[in-house]
Amino acid sequence: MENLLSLFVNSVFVGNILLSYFLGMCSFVAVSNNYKTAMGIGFAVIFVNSVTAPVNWLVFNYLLAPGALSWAGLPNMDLSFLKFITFIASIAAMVQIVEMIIDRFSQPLYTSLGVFLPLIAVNCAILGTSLFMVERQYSLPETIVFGFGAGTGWFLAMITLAAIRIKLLYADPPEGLKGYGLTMIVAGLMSMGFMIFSGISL
Amino acid sequence: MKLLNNKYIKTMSEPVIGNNPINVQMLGICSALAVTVQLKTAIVMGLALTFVVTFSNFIVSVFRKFVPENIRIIFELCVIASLVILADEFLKAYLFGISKQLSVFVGLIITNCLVMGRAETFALGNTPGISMMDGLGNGIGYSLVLIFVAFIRELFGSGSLLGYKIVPQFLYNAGYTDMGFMLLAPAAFIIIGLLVWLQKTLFKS
Amino acid sequence: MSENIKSIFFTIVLCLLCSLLLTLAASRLKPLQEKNIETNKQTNILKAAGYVKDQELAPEKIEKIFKQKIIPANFPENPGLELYLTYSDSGNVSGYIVPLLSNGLWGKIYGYIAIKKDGKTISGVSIYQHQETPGLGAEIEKNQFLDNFKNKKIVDTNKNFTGVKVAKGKVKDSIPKNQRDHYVDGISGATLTGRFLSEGIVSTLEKYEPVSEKFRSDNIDFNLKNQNKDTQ
Repeated sequence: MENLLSLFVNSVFVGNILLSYFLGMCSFVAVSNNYKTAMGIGFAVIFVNSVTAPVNWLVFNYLLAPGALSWAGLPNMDLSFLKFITFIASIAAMVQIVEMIIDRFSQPLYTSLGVFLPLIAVNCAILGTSLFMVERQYSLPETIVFGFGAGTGWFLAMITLAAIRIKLLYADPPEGLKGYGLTMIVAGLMSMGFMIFSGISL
Repeated sequence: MKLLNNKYIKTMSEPVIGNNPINVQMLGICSALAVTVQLKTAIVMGLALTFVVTFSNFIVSVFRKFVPENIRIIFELCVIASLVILADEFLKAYLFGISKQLSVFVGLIITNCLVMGRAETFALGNTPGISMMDGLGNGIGYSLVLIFVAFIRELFGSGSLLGYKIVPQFLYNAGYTDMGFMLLAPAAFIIIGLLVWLQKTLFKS
Repeated sequence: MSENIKSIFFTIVLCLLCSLLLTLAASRLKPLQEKNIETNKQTNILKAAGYVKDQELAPEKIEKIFKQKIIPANFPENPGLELYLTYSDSGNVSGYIVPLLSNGLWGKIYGYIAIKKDGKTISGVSIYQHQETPGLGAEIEKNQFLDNFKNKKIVDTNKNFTGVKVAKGKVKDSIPKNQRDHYVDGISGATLTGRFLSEGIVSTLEKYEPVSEKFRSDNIDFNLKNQNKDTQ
């Protein structure tokens, strides 16, 4: 239990998937000018990540990994080379399902979140979470915690960066730095800031 | 013939030194920054991405008239993912040490904005030959940025390039130490930010 | 309707083509990949024993050195334990190597610990797989850190088991004199990694204590897994 808590804290702060591993910046630049949209996409990422990580764990451990197909009588099959394509397919499918569910059950949520969901399907952070899960050989509970933690970390980094960017609208940077350049430098400073958590242990 | 040659070379060289695609490339850079700690891994990553984007552009362009509209994105993802898997398997077989260092980041080429972006905006509307050139050009431009960042990070962070010690011993003896900061994540962000600044100032479009 | 049928047909053809191509590539390349993994494992074992430094040797050379110097062995009391014996040039057993499995901050840490035939002194440690933070915890794979393990003792002067741990900060600043043989310098900024690694090393060495005790009492007689050592 303590191990899971520690994993959660680590994936939100020290090993923040955006600030330490650079994943998910793609959507960031397009979205972060508006605090509300940043929050929207952040929540969507937490949700999708927490759902797709365990699903991909099941797919990997019961279909693709060496020896995984022993329940179907094929213990020598090693399909792990298909993991990229099956992960992205399952992520796209989950995103589609999530979108349909939200549309069915909550119209206001759909109008605020729904437009981001297809964008999230190709978010590096989501695929990255699944790939890290395979590489680090997490168990199912660890995967669930890691998925939720990574999503939360991304959300945290995203809204903080968005808030800073909005404040920077009042600043007067050199012409060449405006926009993308400044965002990167701010992200670097934030990344440094998040590293202070590396001394915390639970 | 001469005119055609010019058109191809132009399409290839524009993303490398021109203005417009820089912003597009900068978007796709992020997911690969983690491999810029060493020059060797950055070069391999750049080659892998160039391979994927060139051939995905080519294949998407060849089939652009046959793909039904409603599965367009699926088709693109499928092509890109398959090419990435090929690249990854190839690396695991022939460049095992480097592939271990690249870990998950080769797989993340699939979600790289640059690859999808070029397939969607260029390959769908152009002939295979020129799409391939466009892919090649974008790949090379991207690789150059990665190499630039990796060059700085490895030189100042480990005092070496491609694994060979560059900083002479007498400097270490005189008190110089490697900038450990360069090996950490924030350095890559800041270097990219400064690079964008440099580029925007030099290539005012 | 024919739109959908066309899409479905296209999708099926696409799936078939992709799977065919990928499976072909994967199966053709698999033997090479597995050879790479095997060579990698042999290199790591040799590194722990100190027979190979950092330079990249050709796979054939690695295999040759491995066959000459290392023999996988069976511990009669516990046949499941993975164990390797090292041989000096004169053909005598000079030590043993055990696989290190530790939890890390982000994932498991894998390596090898080489111990001298006195059953007390570490002759080397290698770490070949981990997920630690680059620039911080990841420094555990560097020689600068690993070299510190040489000649550390796993039992104290009263023959009690201590294992070897990673100190917080430098050993000479934080560890009393009589215990310095059981600690190595920590990596600044990687306290947690050091803590995990310490636990891992101690639990690995504890697991192999029966083997170490045999070496300490000079009672070396293991079943060698391939008896053709003397043909070299």
